[in-house]
Amino acid sequence: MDKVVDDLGLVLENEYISVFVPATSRAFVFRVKSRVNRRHEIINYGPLPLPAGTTLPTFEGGSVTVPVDGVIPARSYTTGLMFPLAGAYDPSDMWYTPEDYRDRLFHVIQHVTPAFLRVDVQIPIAVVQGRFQKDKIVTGVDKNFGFARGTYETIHIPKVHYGFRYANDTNVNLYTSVKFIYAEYVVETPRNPNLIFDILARRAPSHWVTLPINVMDVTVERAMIESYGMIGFPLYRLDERDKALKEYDMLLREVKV
Amino acid sequence: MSELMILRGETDGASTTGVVSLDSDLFYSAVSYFRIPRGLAAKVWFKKVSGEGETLFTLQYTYDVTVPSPVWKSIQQEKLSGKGEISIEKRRPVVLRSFNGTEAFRVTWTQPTASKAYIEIGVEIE
Repeated sequence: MDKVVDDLGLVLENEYISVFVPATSRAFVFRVKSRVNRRHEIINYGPLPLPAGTTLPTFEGGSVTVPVDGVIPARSYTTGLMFPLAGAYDPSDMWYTPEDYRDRLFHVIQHVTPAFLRVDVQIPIAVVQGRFQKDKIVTGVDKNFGFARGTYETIHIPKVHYGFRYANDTNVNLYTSVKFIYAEYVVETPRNPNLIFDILARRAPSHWVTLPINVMDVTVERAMIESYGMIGFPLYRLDERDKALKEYDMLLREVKV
Repeated sequence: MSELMILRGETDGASTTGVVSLDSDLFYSAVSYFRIPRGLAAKVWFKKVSGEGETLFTLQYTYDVTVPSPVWKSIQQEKLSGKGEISIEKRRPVVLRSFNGTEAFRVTWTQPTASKAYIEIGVEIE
C-alpha cells in the first residue's frame, strides 16, 4: 500500500481518508485538497480540563475531588470532557464546528500524559459507545476493557460535541497534560463512484479511521446529513461492484462537500 | 504506549527501617507504593542510591495491594556500604507485571544506624 500519511500520521495532500462508522457499516471518503496547518500540527494543550473541586466517580464506587486544576485523582475516571479554547467557534469545545465548516475536516491524534491513563470517546458527548456482545455489556474507561491508553486518533464530524473520558487506575493523584497532533484538512468527496468503490474495497490507498460509533445517536445522524448530505457510503463485497456503483452514484447527487 | 517516570525517595534519617515515600514530577503527592495499571508492566531500568551511611534498599512487589495486609515479596536489593553513591543501569529491566490491576511495588530501607539516604529509580510503565 502506498504511503498516504506523513511521519505524524496525518494524511498527505491529494491523498484520501476514509472515515468508517461501525454502527452503519458505512464510510465517508474524502480527498485531502490541502492541510491548512502544514508544519504547525502540534498543540501542546496543557493539563486536562479538570477544574479543582470537580467531583469524579471512583472505581470503588465512591467519589473523589480534583485537588488542583488538571490533576486526575487516584482510582477515578472522568465524565466526557471537551477542550475549551477562547475564540474558537464554540469556546467550550475547540473541536466543534458548525455544518457550514463541512469542507474542513479535523483529524486529531491525541497524546495524553501520563501515557498509561485510559482514554475513550463519547460520540456525541454523554453517549458511551463501547459495547461487547451487541449491547450485552457496556465497556469503557470505567470497565476492565474497551479503552485505549495514552493515545487516541479521531476525526471530528461537524455539529457533534465529542466527550473524551479518562481514567486513572493507579493509586496516585497524577498531573496530566495533553498534546494534539492535528490536521485541519480542506476536503472534498471524490465524484467518481469507481474510485470510491476501489477505496472502500481497499484496492486504492486511503487512510482509514474508524469512529467508535456502535450506537448511532439521532444527533450524530442528523449532523452527518446536515453536514455531508448523507450518512456515508455503504461497504460492498468485491463481486457487488455494479450494485455499489449505482448506489454511490445516487448518493453522490446528495453529497454537500 | 509507554511512560518513563523517575521516582525518588529517601529515608527519614531517624528510623532504621521503613517504607520509602515515592515522588515524581507526575505525582501530585508522594505515595508509599505504586499500583501498576491493569494489563501493563512496570520496568525498572535504573537505580541510583546515595547516602550518608550503610543502607539496604529493597524493591518489593505484591500481587494484591487491596487486601488489609498485603504480602510483599522482595524482588531486588541495592546496598550502599557506607557514605557514597552507586548507580545501576540495566540492559534488561526488572519487570513487574500487573495481571489484575491489584499488583503494586514499593521500596523499603534497612540501616544499622539511622541516616539519610536517597534512591531514584527509573520506571517505565508499558
